Amino acid sequence: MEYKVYDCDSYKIHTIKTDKFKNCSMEIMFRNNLIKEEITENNMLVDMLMHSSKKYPKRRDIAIELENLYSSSVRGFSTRLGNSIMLSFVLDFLNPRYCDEGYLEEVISLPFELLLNPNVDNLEFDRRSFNIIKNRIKSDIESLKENASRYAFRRSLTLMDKDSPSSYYMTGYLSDLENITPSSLVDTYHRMLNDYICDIYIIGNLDMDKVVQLIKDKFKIKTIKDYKVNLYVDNKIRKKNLDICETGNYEQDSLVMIYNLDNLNKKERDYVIQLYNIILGSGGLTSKLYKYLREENSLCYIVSSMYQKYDGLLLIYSGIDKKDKNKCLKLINKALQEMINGDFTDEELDNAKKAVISSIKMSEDTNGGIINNYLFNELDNLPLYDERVKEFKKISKKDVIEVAKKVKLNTIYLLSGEDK
Amino acid sequence: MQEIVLNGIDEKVLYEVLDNGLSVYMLVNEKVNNFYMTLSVKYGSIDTEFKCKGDKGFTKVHNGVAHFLEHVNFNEGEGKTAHDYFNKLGSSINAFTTFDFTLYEVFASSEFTKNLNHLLDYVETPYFTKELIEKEKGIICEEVKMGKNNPGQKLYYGMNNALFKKDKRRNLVTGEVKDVSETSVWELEKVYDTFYHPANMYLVITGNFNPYEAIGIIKENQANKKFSKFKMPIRKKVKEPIAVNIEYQEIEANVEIPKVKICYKMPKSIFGDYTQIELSIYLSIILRNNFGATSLLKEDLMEKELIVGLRAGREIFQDVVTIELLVETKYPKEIIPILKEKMNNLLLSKDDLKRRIRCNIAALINDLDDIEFVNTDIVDQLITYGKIEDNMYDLYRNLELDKVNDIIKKIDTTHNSTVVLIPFKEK
Repeated sequence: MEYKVYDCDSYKIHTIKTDKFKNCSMEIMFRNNLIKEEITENNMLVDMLMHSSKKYPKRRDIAIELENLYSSSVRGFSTRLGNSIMLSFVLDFLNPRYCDEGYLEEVISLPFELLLNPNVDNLEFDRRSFNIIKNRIKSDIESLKENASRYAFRRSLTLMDKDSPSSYYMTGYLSDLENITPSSLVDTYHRMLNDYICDIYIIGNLDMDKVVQLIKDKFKIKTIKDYKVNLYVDNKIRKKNLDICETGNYEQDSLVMIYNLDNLNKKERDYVIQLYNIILGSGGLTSKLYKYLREENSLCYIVSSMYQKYDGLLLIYSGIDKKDKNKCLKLINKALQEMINGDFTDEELDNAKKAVISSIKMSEDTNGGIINNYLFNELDNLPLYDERVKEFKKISKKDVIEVAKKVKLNTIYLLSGEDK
Repeated sequence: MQEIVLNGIDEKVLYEVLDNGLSVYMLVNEKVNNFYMTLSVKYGSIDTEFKCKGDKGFTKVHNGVAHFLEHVNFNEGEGKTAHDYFNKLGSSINAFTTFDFTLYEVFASSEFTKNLNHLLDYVETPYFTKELIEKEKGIICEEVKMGKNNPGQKLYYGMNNALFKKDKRRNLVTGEVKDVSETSVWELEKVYDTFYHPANMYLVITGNFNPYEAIGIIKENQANKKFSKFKMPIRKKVKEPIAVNIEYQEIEANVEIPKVKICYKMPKSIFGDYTQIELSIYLSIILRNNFGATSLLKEDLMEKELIVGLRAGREIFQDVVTIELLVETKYPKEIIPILKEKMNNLLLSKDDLKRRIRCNIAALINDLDDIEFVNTDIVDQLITYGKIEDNMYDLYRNLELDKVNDIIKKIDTTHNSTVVLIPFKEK
């Protein structure tokens, strides 16, 4: 595997040459600090740009072109990374050696064609496309409730602190959606091109010098961005935790617990808390939470803890029956207390390390995983896979106990069905 | 060991059927770090009535027994489960049950021998106690309830119930809470003894490993175990009429925008001599073209803001073919007749076909990167066709427009059901 960075002034191209896969992938990403009011329009923009363009006035035209390009795919999406937002455009395509002459140039050009020649006339996006996308996003926002666990997470984080980016709903907000117009979206578009930091990652068994030249020819943006995007959210600790119940039309009740991770250092954030999390509750069917809630007491089918690195939070989710809430809370507390007391064996810690290393090895088997390896190295100084494996091996039981003491309860939230 | 060369894509599958009947299929990818192994048992949720040679009548078990068995099969005695063992290896394991089979999987990057041996050992060694089974009931009941929270599942089973009168796909794979609560030890033991035999299993391994070492390990493992003769159970046949159970039904669910599913049911025999796989490919191409991303109808309905999404699919069963259309719309009454009209006017041009052939061949190559997908695809083929199709490449390349038109002409839209998920009414 050969990794290279080409600095093209207004953006960087990161190439990863590998013969591991028969398909290739290119990700064009724009990053900036996250502003709540811009979430909805950003989300609409990424959809708009991949939906039609001057050359392909309807989504169907793009769909046909993609099929002709050996079933390639392009998609746009926005993600939140702590305090920052990332607008990504991903192209997946087949290695040119299976395809017609000229394929590489054609397929690489497509996303740039869509990005740089949008379906805009008289400073307005095409209204037909605009309405289709607006409807879809509206429906996505409205359907949040269909997924009980997603809805429970969103509600609990909002109740914790509605002004914290951790609580923002990245699909968008209806009130913001109503105010977006075909012309305001053009401003959003220019903001992305002019103000956002841009990186392009490309992976595959390709002649990378040729690829870089192709991109430079196609993608000419002229703005220099030189500022830092701050990733980490500072979620305030609560002296007394919240405890809230809400109801909805559900068969099963959802319990969410939110914990602050108080002042972790870099080593703890990158390594120790992940091992803590596996032993406590994310380690599949051998974790403490799983053992106490599911195996020993048959209280649930799903229980799991999640580490939200850039939010400094640890979340616990379980689908339970609300009559068992107090029993569940007791067992969860028991598990957390055991972590503080060091009531876990060296073998458990060792198994957690093996699980992490295993998941790193799995990430190395996908294009996206390998891109992320280099991306997070760039964004957050996260060491590369090999280095991380070495560091994980060094973590001691004492390290994990120290982290356990920094886990502070913030919110208990129960989403229950109507009384049955 | 024998070799199946997959034409046109430069790959081969190695396979062998062991003396005890276990079928082993392997496809190696030396470029990746990991290996993925699955042991599939041909026993699914619909197999609730069966008999073996010498039995007087059919044995009937509760719905959900296949899934229940999948849950408790992880137990290994002395308070240990298979999870404990694999966790020490850093492997990730899981299992799932479908209408037709039960699959146990291991995903790992090291300790190939231990992983392989233990997968065979824990699935092939039953350990049922009344206590463990009672304990599992609470867990499975919560899983059933979790499923009921999901509108997608509500629509899926709502449709199966409308479409079928007798077919056991009307029932949840998990069974209802009542089925789970009533399931007893003898049912699990009976099913295990009848169906969990190597001759009724497929072991499929994909990813980075040495297949010659693998077959050695498997043979040694199996030689160390005693199996009685496979009982060759016969599943009770259900005669499903072509008429549907319910033609139109509305169901309240946690949705904001109604979801509509229209399903057509027709006898497979009307299509004539096409093989199951040919029929499946042609129908898929026709439906994609008329209702998918490149369809004019979809574009038109989206532009008029009448729908937010549209998909189509087909399923081919023993004697029955079903075609389903799935749409999200605020105007079900207006949209349903439009879609039904389109079903009677399906189109596919020469260019469309050429494009679809190119896509299918590209996918054939693309999919090889994903060892999980490759494995699942092999299992699906084994369960559905009983063998690996070694010539997908030529099958795709030789698709003909005349056959497309012939199949379009034969699609029979007489028998159909429509199910609409609507938002809960205010109380």
